[in-house]
Amino acid sequence: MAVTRPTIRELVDQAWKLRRSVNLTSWLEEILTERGFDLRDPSNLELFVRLRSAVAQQLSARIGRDEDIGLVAPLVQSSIDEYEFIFRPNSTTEATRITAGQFISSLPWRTFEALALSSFKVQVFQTVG
Amino acid sequence: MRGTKEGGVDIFGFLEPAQFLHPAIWKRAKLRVFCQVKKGRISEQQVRQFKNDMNDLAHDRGRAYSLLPAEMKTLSQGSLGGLFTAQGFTAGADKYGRESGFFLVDPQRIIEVLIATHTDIPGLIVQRKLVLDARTLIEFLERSKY
Repeated sequence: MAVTRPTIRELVDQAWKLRRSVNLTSWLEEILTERGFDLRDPSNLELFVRLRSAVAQQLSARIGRDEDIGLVAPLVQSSIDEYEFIFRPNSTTEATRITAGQFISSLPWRTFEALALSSFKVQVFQTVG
Repeated sequence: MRGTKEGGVDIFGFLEPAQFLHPAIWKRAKLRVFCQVKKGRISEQQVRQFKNDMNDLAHDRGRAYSLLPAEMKTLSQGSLGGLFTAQGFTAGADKYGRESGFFLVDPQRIIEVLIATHTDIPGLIVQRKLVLDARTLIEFLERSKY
């Protein structure tokens, strides 16, 4: 059976969109086994370890990027197990962000300006005039 | 209410830190806030121009300054600048904007703040769910005179 090696990006995207907590150790074992990798084989085991580490690192970086700009990431890294990512149900889904972003981009300038102002007003901002 | 439409300023107002920091220290303190709103992707050049416009305002000059209400002219100290875009920022604009101390807001952040604060905007978000309807949104924003 031909085996298809998953890319790091593919795995990160998949984990990001799961909408549930994910333990990279068991989750990756499952994915690699499903794709025909025998994890008793030392070379596959090495691949597993490399992927797990890279995915954890990139997920963590993506969470950091979201937090830096005030977005609520869908996952948070466990402080006990670096390969455990806990789902945050109060996060805004990626699909919502993309759909809403496209919709907002298509609005006339005047409407976008009014929307920008309205989003400002929900914070403690007082306009003049 | 907003917008000189001249000198690069589209929205302006006051921010009162006492509303979110301890009033024992911050009561009566005010900051002026000036924003530019762009439909397109914002480039570094545009952020640099906005910085120049902010600099003019700080020195009581420029076209935007002449159009400000008296209350804003009186308060000449302490200003914050921000840029809103419907299409995002180039990497250079993002970097330069942050280095300049501006806040940068794209559609994702607008959505995030509306959802997180449970704010309903008919035609966009109702009860934290997207209801994308441009006509309803335009009517609502016009009616509420934002």
